[in-house]
Amino acid sequence: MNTNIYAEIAEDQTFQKLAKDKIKFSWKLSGLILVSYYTFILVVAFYPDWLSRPLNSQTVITWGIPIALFLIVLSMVTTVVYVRRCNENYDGRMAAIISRVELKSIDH
Amino acid sequence: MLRMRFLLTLVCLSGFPLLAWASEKPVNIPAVSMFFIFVTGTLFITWWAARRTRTTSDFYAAGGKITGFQNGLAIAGDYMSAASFLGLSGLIFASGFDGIIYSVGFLVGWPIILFLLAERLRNLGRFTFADAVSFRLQPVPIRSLSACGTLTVVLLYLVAQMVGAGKLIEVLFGFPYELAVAVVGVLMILYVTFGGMIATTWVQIVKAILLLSGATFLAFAVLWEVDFSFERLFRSAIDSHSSGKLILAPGRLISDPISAISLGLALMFGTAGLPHILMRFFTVPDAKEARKSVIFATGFVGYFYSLLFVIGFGAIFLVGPNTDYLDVTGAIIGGSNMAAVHLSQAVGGDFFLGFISAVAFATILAVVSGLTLAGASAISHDVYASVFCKGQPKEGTEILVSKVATIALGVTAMILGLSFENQNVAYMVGLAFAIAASVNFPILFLSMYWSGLTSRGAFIGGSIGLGSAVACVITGPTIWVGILGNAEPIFPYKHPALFSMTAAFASIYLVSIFDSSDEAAHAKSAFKNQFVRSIVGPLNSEK
Repeated sequence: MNTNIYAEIAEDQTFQKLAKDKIKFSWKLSGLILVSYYTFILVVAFYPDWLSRPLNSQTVITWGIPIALFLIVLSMVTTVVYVRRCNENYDGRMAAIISRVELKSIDH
Repeated sequence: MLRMRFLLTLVCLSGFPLLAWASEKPVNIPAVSMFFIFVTGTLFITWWAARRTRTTSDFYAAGGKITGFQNGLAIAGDYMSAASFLGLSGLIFASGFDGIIYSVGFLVGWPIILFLLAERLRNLGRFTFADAVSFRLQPVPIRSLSACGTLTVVLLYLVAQMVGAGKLIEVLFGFPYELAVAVVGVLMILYVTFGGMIATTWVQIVKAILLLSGATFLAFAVLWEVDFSFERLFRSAIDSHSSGKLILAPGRLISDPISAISLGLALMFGTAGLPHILMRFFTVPDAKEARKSVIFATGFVGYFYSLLFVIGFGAIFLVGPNTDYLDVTGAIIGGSNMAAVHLSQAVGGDFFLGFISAVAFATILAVVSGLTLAGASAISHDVYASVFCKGQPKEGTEILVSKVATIALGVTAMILGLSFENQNVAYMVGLAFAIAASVNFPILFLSMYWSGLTSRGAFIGGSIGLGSAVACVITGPTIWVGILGNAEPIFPYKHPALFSMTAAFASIYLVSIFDSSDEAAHAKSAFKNQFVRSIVGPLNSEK
């Protein structure tokens, strides 16, 4: 009976839409992290001098420091963005689909 | 009650010889006392946890009753190992910006785990990540391979931690190396066999709080010295370091592009394949809490690494030029890994040194316990219950096997720790990450995201990933030249992940698409159900 429920959910159009939205959002955020991080790694690998320049003539702090901090903050911010989107959007839609399909399976 | 008495006897057995043996070297009294308080506290937790550990689910997954916040702290604790606390601050102390590159790499794996793996893992699995992989694939080959991947990663990591612990405790506490290894081994066996995942989680949480507080104090003390000016922090560091301005630039540690990319891959995807971390996602009640744990973990780890930057650069000018912390040759006593420890004395005196030393010891204990539990679960849940008993183990025997496996792993780790005393073990954590990225991560990721994956593909490709990671490290500069003493490495790079991950993914793909067996057809057709389950989770009707 349970496999029936999963099969039924699989055919449900609102589920398909939800799954598509959620996966798309996950990949968008993953893409953001992957692109930012590997850009950083490629700069370390091929153009380390870019990261060695001071921010301005008054300081010894190089571009590398704020960029590294940016990557750390970006990691934290994207996780918060993802979880908020799940809580506010996807979870509710999912609960609605599950209760509808489960109700239907009791009727049968 | 009997258990309690047994525990107490063991504490005494492990505690008293400490004081007797230690008299040869100066013993750090505040450190030893604080460490004893920690051990007593954690054994109390273990006793409390033991009374709550009845079922296999309690033992492997704390009954799924850990909250997202608690789990976030525990995951952060697993991640804030002695290797990252002492190793990364030491790396920044020694080479500045290159240490920061490592920290960033360790952190950016977290969002990826959250977006792509965490919820699906929780929805598909029960106790080990192999549960999720074998959801639609054949359990026997898949679990055997996952267990190999898990055990290799766990043993490498354990040996590195054991040797690190021995050395560290020798310097910090004045205990002999052998005794330090024995204490770590015995305590970790106690925590895990009696308290299972409940004790392992709470020990990790307590330690995470202690370590975060200690590191916060250290970083603030450093910032206090420079009037909270980052400009002055970096200027003072540049003035005190022999490399001067170069410490704020990348380059010396990561010399060529291939190594940089390869290291980046290992750090990011290795994190997503570490068995003791993946296992933590089963200790929360559902996918929503799993998600929450990653937010807290990322927050705590990110905060911790930011503190490490300050600690590392602070140590450059507060420890580096201070002759109290240097030996006759002008090198730092105990090696650059001791930078944070010396810094704690420089800014907080002997009492704070004692606190940080005790926290460092506690860190090792908490991390090895998590590792051992992950290894023991691979043996009892994946190999014994699923492969050996075909998924029908007798009630109760699975936990028993797990406890025996814990003791066996603990003893093995102690023996290996003793035999590797004077070896360079730094490569072991790197190798563990490379294997996690080349075996565990590819099969876990593809099982969730690629309907074409077959059991044969996962098994052969995963084995190739494992084999190539090990082969590249053995024939690479660290072991082939550094340890075996050959003139030229056969494999020229220090970090194999770029090659071993490519080999794993390519061979999994090729073997899967040419697999025309009935089983392959079944695995492909079962993807749809697995996909729904991975998003929806177990439904109420089957709970």
